[in-house]
Amino acid sequence: MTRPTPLIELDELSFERGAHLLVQRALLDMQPGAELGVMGTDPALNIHLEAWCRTQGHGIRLPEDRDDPVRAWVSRGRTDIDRWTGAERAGGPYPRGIQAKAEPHWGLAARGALIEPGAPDLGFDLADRDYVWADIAPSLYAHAASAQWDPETAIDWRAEVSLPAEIELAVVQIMTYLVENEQAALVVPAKLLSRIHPHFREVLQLLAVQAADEARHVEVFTRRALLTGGEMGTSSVSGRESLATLVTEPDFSLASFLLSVLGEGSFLNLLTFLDRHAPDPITRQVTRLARQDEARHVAFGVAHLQHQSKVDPSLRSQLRAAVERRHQALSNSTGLNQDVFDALVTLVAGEWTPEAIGRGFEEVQKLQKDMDEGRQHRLINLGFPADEAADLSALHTRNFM
Amino acid sequence: MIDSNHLLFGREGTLPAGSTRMIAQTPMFDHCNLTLTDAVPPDLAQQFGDLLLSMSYADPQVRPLFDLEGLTVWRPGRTNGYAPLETAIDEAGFYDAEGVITVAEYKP
Ligand SMILES: [Fe+2]
Ligand SMILES: [Fe+2]
Repeated sequence: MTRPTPLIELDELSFERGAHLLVQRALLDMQPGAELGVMGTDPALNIHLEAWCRTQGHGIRLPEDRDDPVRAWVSRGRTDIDRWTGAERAGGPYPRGIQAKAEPHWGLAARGALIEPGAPDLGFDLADRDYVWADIAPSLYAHAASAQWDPETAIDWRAEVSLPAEIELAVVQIMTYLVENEQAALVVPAKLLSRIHPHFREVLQLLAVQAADEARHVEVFTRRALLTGGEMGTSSVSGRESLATLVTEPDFSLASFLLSVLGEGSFLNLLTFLDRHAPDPITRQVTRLARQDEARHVAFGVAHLQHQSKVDPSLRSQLRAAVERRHQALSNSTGLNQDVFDALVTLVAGEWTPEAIGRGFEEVQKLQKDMDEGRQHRLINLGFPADEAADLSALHTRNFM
Repeated sequence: MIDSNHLLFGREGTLPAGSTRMIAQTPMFDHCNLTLTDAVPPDLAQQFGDLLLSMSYADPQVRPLFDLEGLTVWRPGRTNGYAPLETAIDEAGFYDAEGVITVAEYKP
């Protein structure tokens, strides 16, 4: 049985203008060692074909007869086959194709791509599905992407703001505190996402959008603080000490627990409080918009840890230890900046009468109680018994975040 | 000029494609050779050669090195094919009797 001899006609097309694509395509389905006749009229064809074959590991033979329409015979090499032998798919492109363990040498390759073996390890140390994944990540990312708002147009910056000087100062102090905390909330997910293997890309995408959310929060709170032309408020050592324990937590689950479940969870109550007691429309709009984003950050934190606690029964004791460690680290710290606490009271009071200040103080106490209840609720969602949830919530930093 | 450079220049546009004409071609010669002096102990030289020859393009660890050099395989050394090149260089007086480059402004 003889097969028809494979031939390829290049006409005038030269190797300087892409002829290799036609030759390569013709060789693709041939067996190593089989010969392909190459025809064409470019004067440099044989010289270029020979140079190309050498780099590709193909052999070449010239026909004996000078009048042969075949200019050269290429005998198929096997370097392309060798390159892709042992290649593997990096899981599948959809979330159901996610693997339990992402291989270091997959590096930045798209999930589902065919991976040539070899290449350096980029050191993504968070590479276990059970450690980084939550099934809600793709839909939360899609929601987050669709819910991005433009600080320039989402807020009516030209709305009338003319508050008594001391109320304005209270707003500025609260905004200064919020910016500081938002910056911690920006840095923490950004640091974590750079360590997560891109195989879990939906988690990276979600954290990237989360960091972008915080970037907007930093912007709008700063802009509100400076709206009436004054200076920023104060930043206390105790506030920065508290945030330092968040930023330096190296463990993904623990960082996400302290930041998203406990810290941002408490901020949901704070932002609701500021929305309700806002003395001007701009303060109301910036806190309301930020709160919508924060709800997503908390949702992912809770879902991620719920997923993990299903596969790791020791998780809860680790979370407990993290709260206790942080409490210990902050035992010599006074917690919330007194200026911030006073500003919250002043904001609610709105005037300097004993009755109004007393009401303001009560409201801020109630805020702290709401935060505590919210934290306990989320801890119970993570599987903590009610009494343990109450103990742990009480150990949370007085800085709120 | 070697053939692979001519192809490269044409592809990159250094020489516009089709703008040059080949008027003569030498027989094939190996444009790169790994040369050892006789100061190398023969058993070491042999071992080194064996190691190179054992490198396989199918090995994902060494393939990137082959790719960097534009190679797919090592072959035993050969010096045949250099004669026309040697003659051309001698005729042009590029090197003197001691092997020193004679062209003053030549910068490799
Ligand atoms: Fe935020
Ligand atoms: Fe947040």
